[in-house]
Formats: sequence, C-alpha cells, structure tokens
Amino acid sequence: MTPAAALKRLGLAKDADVAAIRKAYAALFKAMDVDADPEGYARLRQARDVALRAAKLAAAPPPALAEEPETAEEAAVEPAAPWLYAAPAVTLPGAGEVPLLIAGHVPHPEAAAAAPQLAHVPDTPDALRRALAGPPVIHSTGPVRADVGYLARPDVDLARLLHDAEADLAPLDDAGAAFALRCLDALLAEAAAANLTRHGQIEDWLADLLAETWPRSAPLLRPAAEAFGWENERGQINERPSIGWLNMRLRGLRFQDKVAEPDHPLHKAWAELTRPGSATLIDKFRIRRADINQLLEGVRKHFPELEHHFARERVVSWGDGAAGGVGGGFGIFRIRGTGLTFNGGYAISVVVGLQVLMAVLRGLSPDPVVPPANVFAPPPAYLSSRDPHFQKVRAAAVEEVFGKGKTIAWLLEKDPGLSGDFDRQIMQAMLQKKADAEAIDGSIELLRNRAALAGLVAEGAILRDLARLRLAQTDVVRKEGGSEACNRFLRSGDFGGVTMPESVRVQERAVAMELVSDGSSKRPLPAGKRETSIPGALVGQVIKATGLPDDRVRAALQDKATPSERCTVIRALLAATLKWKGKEQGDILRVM
Amino acid sequence: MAGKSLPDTGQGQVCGMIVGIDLGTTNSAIAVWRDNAPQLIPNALGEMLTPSAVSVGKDGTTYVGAAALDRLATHPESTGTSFKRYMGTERKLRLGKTDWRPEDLSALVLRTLCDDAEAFLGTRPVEAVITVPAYFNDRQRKATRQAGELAGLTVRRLINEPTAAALAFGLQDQEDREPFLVFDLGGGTFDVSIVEKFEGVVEVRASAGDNRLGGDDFNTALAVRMKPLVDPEGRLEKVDARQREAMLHRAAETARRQLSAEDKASFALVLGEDRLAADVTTDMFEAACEDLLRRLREPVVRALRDCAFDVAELGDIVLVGGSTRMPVVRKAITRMFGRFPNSSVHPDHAVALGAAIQAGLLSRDAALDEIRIADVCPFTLGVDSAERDSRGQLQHGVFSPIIDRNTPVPVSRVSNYRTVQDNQKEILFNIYPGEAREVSSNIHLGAIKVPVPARPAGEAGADVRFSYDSSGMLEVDVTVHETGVTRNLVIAGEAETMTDREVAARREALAKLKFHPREDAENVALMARAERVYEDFVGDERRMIGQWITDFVGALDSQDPRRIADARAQLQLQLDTASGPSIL
Repeated sequence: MTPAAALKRLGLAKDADVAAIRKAYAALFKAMDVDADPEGYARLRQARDVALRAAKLAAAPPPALAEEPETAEEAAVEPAAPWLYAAPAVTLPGAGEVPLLIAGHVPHPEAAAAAPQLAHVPDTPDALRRALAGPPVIHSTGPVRADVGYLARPDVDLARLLHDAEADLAPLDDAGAAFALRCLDALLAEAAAANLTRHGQIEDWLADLLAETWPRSAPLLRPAAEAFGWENERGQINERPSIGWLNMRLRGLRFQDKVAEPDHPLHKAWAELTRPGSATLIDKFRIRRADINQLLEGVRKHFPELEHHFARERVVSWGDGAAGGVGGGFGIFRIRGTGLTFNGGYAISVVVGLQVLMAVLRGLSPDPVVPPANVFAPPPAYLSSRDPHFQKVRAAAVEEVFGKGKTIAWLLEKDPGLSGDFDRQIMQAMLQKKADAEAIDGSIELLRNRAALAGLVAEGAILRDLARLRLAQTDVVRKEGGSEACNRFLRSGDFGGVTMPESVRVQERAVAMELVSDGSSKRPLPAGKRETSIPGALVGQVIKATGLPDDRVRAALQDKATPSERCTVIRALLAATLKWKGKEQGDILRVM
Repeated sequence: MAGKSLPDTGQGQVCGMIVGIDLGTTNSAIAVWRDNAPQLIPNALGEMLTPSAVSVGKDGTTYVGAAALDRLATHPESTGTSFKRYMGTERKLRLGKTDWRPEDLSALVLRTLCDDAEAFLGTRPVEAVITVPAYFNDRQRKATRQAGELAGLTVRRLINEPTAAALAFGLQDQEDREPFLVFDLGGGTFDVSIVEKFEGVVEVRASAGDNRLGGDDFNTALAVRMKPLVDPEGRLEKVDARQREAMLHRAAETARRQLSAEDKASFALVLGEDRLAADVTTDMFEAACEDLLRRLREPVVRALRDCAFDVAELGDIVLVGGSTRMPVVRKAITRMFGRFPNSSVHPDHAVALGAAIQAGLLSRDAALDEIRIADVCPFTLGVDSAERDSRGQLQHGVFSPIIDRNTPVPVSRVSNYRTVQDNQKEILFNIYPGEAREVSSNIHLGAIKVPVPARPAGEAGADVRFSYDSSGMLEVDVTVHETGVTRNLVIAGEAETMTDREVAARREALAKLKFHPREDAENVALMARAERVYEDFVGDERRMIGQWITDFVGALDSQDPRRIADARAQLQLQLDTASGPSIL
C-alpha cells in the first residue's frame, strides 16, 4: 500500500499530519465492527501504519549535512550509536524524570552533575534509593588481584585482549583467560544492575565481540550465554543472527566435552583424529572407518571450528583430501577458487567455495584491524557518537562512498544495518587512533566487501555493473601491484593496498548507490559451494582474446599456471562473459 | 450487535447485566459497570478479593474463598489452590474422595462470585467478561470459557489481563497517553503489554509473557532456600508430600509478606508439637529468587523489540498483580526501566475493574461511546510442514507460521500448502502456537486431516485459514483446492472436548454440591481461621486457642444471633492478638 492510497483509505488529504491521521483512524475504527470484518480491520490498520510512517518521515527535520550540529537538540536526533567500549551512558534528568545513575567506570562530568539530585528525590524508600543509585559494581566485584590491578575499563581491556593482532585469534593462555573472565564478570555484573537499554547494549556488544574474536573468546562464551539466557533463544523464529551463531559454537563446546568422555560412541574416532602422526594399519583395524567419517562429516557440517583439533596428517592418512581446509580459515572472509576441473569436451566447471562469515555479513574489514597489543596500555579516550569530529569523519566517509550530497540520515533510512556498520567501523578506526583518511578508506573497504557479497546473489543489470567494476578494479590492481597482487585480488578481493583512481571510484560510487537502492546489500547469502559450467564457445573466446594456447588456458583455469597467465585468463573470461548473451551469463558472473 | 436496542442507563440500573470477573491464581474479584463507572462487588465477608481456593469438608460441604484457604493448613488433602495453573491440562486435583478438573474448581469460584453479585445487585448475573493472562494459549482459554459455562454464565468475551488493567489505567482521565507498559505479575502468570491511548482508542501494541512465572514461584524459591535451614534433620520428609508442600508454601507466603514491610522475617512452620523456624533477610530472599528476577526481563525485552519501541519512549510503567508489591520485584523493575513505576492503579483491583469496563463496552453503555479497545495475538500460530533441505532431503516438523505474534486481533489469515509426495492421499495439519522453528518444541493444539486427490507431489494442495477472534479463540478452516472439500476445527484437545449435554450434566452436578448458607459465611470463615491458627501454635498457647474455639462453637450452638455476633467479635479480636491480622 502506497502512502497516497493509505491516506485515501483514511479519507485524508495529501499533507495530513500525525494527529490528523490518528484522528481519522480512530473515527473509522470506532465506526466499524471489527469482529464482523477482520480483513477490513487489517486493511485499516495497515493504512494507518503506512500513513503514519510517511507522515513521520516527512515531518522529520531535514538531515543536517556535513556540518556539525550546532545545538544540543540537533545532536539529540542523531540515531543511537551502538554501545561502543562501554562508554558511560548517563541519563540526564529531564522534566519530571527521576535521574538515574548508571554505574559508570570513569568519573564523568555529566554523572557528577546528576549525582547530587538523587538526594532530593522525595519519599524514596531506602531500598529503591539503593536500586536507583546502582551498586558500584565494576570497582567492587571480587578481590582486586595484585598482578592485574585495578580494572578501570573492563570493556576496553577485554576488547583489546581479544582483538590482539599478534595473537591472531589464537587461544588465550591461562593468565589471559583469567584476566578475560575477570573483565567479563565485571561487565556481567554491570549488565545485571543496569536498565534495559544499557543491558541490551552490553549484551549486543558482548555478542559481537565474542563472535568477532572467536575462537579466542571461547572461554567467555558459556558464562556470557548463561547470564543473558542466549540459549533460550535457540531455534526460535526470530533468533538474532549473532546469538544464533554463538549458540552453534556453544553446542560445539558441549560436543567437545561429551566426545572427550570415554563412553561417547565417537570417542575413539575423536581420540584417533586428534593424535599427531599418520594412522598405522593397526589404527585402521582398531577404529571403524564409519565412525571416522561420521565424526568428520558431523564436525564439518555443524562445528567447523572444532576441526583445528584434528591432526591434519592423520586425517589425510585416513584418506581425506579436504582435511584442514576449513578450520584454518575460520573467522576470515575468503572466496576460494578450488581446482577448476576440466571435463573432456569444451565445458569447464568452476567450483567456488564460499565461506561467508557473520563478521563479513556485518561488514567488518577482512583483515583483523586491532590496536597495539599491550593489554595494560591506558584506555583510549571515550568516544561518543555525538562527538563532532566523529560526525565529521562519518559525513565525509558517506560522501566519499556514495557521492556528494549523501548523508548518514539518508543511509539510515535506506539501509539501517549498513549505516550501523558505518558507525561501528569508523568508531573502531578512530579509537585505534587511525588517521581520518584511513577511517574513510575503511568505509570504502566496507562497501567493497558488500559489493563482493552482493555479486554472489545479484541478477540483471546490477550483476553486470558489479562485473564491470570488478574488471576495472582487476586492471588497476594488475597495473599497480603486478600479477601476484592481481591473482590475490581475484581470489580474495584483497586490493593489496592499491588505490583506485577517480575513474574507478566513480564506478564504485554508482554501484554503491545501486546496491543500497535495490536492497541487494541486505539479501541473504547462499550457503555452501556453487558450481557452474562454462560453455565451450566462451572458452574459445578466452583463447582467442588471450592468444594463449588451449592447454595453457585450461591450466590457468585449473589454477596450475603462473600468476601472470592466470590473471590474464580470468580477466579475459570476465570480459568475455560480460559480452556473452547466453543464459549462463548470470551464473558465471555470480561465481566469479 | 447492530439493531439491538440500547439499554436504559438510568441511575442505579445495571446495563445488560454483564459482570467483569478477574479469575486469578491466588485471588478473584468481580466488578460491574454501574453509574458510569466500574465498581467492585464485595463478598459475604465484605472483602473485595475472594481467594481462589476450594475445600471439601468430610460431610461433603464445599468451602470457597477465605474459609477454604484457611483450611489449606488444617486439611491440605481436601483443599485446592492455584488450580488456574493447571487450566487446559488433563491434570486433576483430588479433594477428599473426588477428583476435580481445574475447570470445575474455577467454576465453583465463579459461582461464589456470582452469589456475591446477586446479593449486591439484586439480580443474578448471566453474562460475563472473564480475564485471562495474555499468554494463555487456546486450550487454557477454552478451559476458562468452559468454567464460566459450568458456573451458569454466558462468557461474552475473554479479555487479556494486562489489557483489562490498561483499560482501567487509561480511562482514569480523558487525555491521550504516550505508550505505557503494563507489568502484570500475578500469583501464577506474568504478562507484559505495551499500550497506547489516543482519541479514546486503547491500543495494545505488543504483549509477551511467561505463563509459568508468578508469586507462587517466589514462594517455592524461598521454601527451597529455607527448608534445609529450618529442618536440617529432614523431619519434613516423613510428612505426607501434599501436607509438606502446603506447610512450606504457607510459611513462605507469610515470610514473603513480612519481607514486604521489613528487612527481616521469620520462616516458621509447626510440625507436630515443635515449631521449626529460621530468620530470612531481604538479601537471602533476593539471592534465592535471582533466577526468577532474571526471567522478568525476557518478556519485557521481547515486547519492546516486537513493537520497535525503546525503553526511553515509554511513559508510565504500570504495576498490576499482587506480586508486584514485593520490594525485590519493584527493585528489579526500577533497575530495568531506570525509573520508578507508576502505582496509581490498585494492583489487585485493576484487572477486575478493566473487565467491568469491557463489560460496559459490550453492553454499549453510552458513557463508553467514545472508547474502543484493540488487542493483539501475543504468540505466533502456525502448522507443521515439511521442507526440502539443501541436499534434497525432506525435513519434517518445520513450523510454518500463519499468524505472526503481535498481530492485531481479530485477524484472519490464509496460507497455502501443497503435497510433498506423489499420490499422497491426505494432508495432516497439526496446529501449534509457539516461537520455535521446530514444532517439537511448541505446544500441540490439535490436528485436522483432509483427503486430497492422488496427484504428483506439489500438484494437490489446500488453503489453511486461521481466524483468531477478539477473545483469543482460534478457528481453523482447511479447503482443498482440487475438490473443494472443507474441514473446520475450533481448537480443543480431543480428550477434553465435552458435548453440550456433558457440560449441562456437569453444571447440574456442581449446582447440587452442598454449601453453607451465605449468611453463615462469616462464621465459617472465622472457624476455619481459628483452626488454622490453632495449628500454628504449640503448648499452652495452642490449648488456649482450643478453649476459644470451644467457646465459639458453644455460642454457635445456641443459635442466638446476638450471642453469636458477640462471640464472633471476641474470637476475631483474640485471633488478631495471637497471630496478627489475617493474612488476607
């Protein structure tokens, strides 16, 4: 139902405001017998909802463009930023509102201003007064350990520990795990005492952090899941994606515990596969092959993160060629061309294994960007989404990515998920004290990832535009970075630090606009492997375009050629496919 | 209802004689729309609340209300409380020598309430609006409606408890209100509703709940915590289970009430000639019910998420239900919302008053001409289905939603399903409410089987229409495309479906039960209370209370109304001094 049709249904003129819509709706609602006409009622409700939404959008103040907000009111309409690094959120007393102090970790001028007012709340029973004041949880939970010291910012410390670049998501050592658990305890204690908004912020922030830093975050998962009741959400229709993902990991941990028990049916197989060395003949008599296969298949399907427990050599010795392919790359986005197989005639089957992780779904940069690895370094300054500098950088980033005149408010309306990712990515960069230009580059990167993902599901004109863009990018990467870089780019979308010239940027901006406008950036992604055939005639065109002999082209497609030749061949295939009019065009472009 | 003449709304006249009843887990209340306002009706003891308790005496006399509740301590084997928690299940409660269905016991409470209304209004009510927890499923609603029928009432509408409370709160003035949240924690159930009021329309935006969380659970948690302290030797284990439960529950209830006023309370029970007691502090209680307090968050978060409101956008937090009086609960609420809740409605009366307003609306009272109410269906409703997974295997038992939760009611939706196998002869639709993707985790409500013509898979199919009415009752219609065959099901578990004749027979049987005359109610209740207090004491005090009871029985035997009244006043005073005011 369009807003115009909705207003017509309500009997209103085009420029009706919220009050008029409610009034008209109330009158129509009172006049009808909803029990006799449920469908008419549903239509009326829908008309009201559509009209209200349109009226509210129209009434919203025109978004302030790149300028910084000048007044406090303007700053207040800014969409709520994700809870970043547990910055103290202080609710300032409004008219008739009881001031609430949320346990802050850092003395905050606003908090200090709000504190004395609490004493003036009339007729406050003592118990409620205590509840309102909020226990000073962060500072008082548990004894302070001498070696750890004072936990001023458990959130920042935890994030830095888990995101440690040098560790590269390796498991925490004992001291690290103990410290992380202590930080977690402090955060959970704060959540338990916090109001719903902050409780939710802490929960979302922790869920994201644990998911992003998995498997390093493994020791924290169980206590966190228990405190927030994440498992109650398991299997529900609207299970949040990050929670769903963590719940799967939780089941993995549980499976790992169970399989370690001697009476588990797959225990022997598990013990066998986790031993280093090759399987001997005796091993193969001792353990049933069916169990080994069942375990391998089950782990790969349900708990891929457990595969790193298996000794690769042993898995291979049991006759499994694909061993070790999954566990290693877990947590990092990768599009992998795995061996192109050539079937006799003139058809080549391209298999592209996709490993799409939620880290990418949420648009994070593929290489872990992390602060220097000193866990005990002083925490970075608190950064608010109302910070004028942050807003300036964000405004610049949105214009850089989508073109002049586009604002975060526009993006929020078009694609709220993406705008949230923008916020997060820029805040992260700024907290890591990166230069503004680097933060903006991060945003460009974010959109490139989105484009790459959208290319996997897109159709029609937008798919061809994406392919053309990829062609242009390939050429630039090759020219600037050489054939190694070109090859890497084709495999994983890694630009290798090559900057795109303005001509390509223009193309990228156009594609970004297309993605946001048609909703491609929000479409669900296919899981698993996809396969497509390349018609012989197309291969013929590649041979013609590259001037390479038939067998060299085949070798390149099978990933057996030199980087230079492979780059040339894939580029030619892309160009040829774009001109190809056959029905296979879409399928080939999507797997490339 | 068009064409029905508007009833006269002259002074004192009851419009259409529809009463509003709050049938609670712990207490029930009845109210009526009269003189342009909802009005509560007192029971025979002059109280606005009647405990939802039924007890059967040795001679077959049935006690309902305060007397029955007191008999829980003295005759646990023949007394039933909290039976609302078993509504819609097969579970039966044995009182004395007979098994009772929860519907029967609820019907007895409803009948007593109607007696009170008859005494108060001069005519016996025949039509009623009864409240149910928002999160009650179809089966539980059906059982409630049947309890009404068994009590001789026509149930015109079932209304959700938080919605009723929202009506009572919203109609305090004429103003529009920003979205407010009704936090309804009763004796056995917990509901949250987010409600808006504009232009006289009270509109529920989202509801969520937990129909297994209430004051009773706080009692259980406290009892579990305190049992090892008062009874380290395990002497209670030798007591009959039902009696033990009753003793612990009552000790917990008393301590919990005391904790509402003080920081420390005594958890005490009398076992034979010994008094077992231990002190419990607010902190201990809070620690014991930590899990329960945590469970309060989930429905709130879900309701907020469903209607896309932020906590900051909410206006008042309206507290309803007796359990919201507990300081630990209030503290948890204050923390959750970061502000003090609104206590402007009476937590025990709001639901009944709201039901009376709904009754006034149904009888088209002129004073309510500008008021309308819009509610939602708080849970997802759907059927099971089979899907092909990525490997082409058929996965059965996948929940396919037809009505999404928090859809405005009444609502009617159709979904289309096709056969999954070649030459499939029939399609079986299992009907579920719930939020899990796999039906095995959802509650099974019923099933419909329809024959379909033998065709290749996917070429035969049926439309399934779900109609959810304003009372929250679900009706399912299935139509086969190819043959036009239709099947209809008004949900009710197969086993508990009663025919009209069976209902009538059961109503007769209940009506034949022996009750004390209404004018004796005060004496009966006082006697039950005295016997309960007797059990609470040991030694000399117990002997003294025994003497008081003997005196009172002597007065009753004299049949002299004045002497009885005097003796009653005296015994009341004596019991108050001995044990503090009645726990009611």
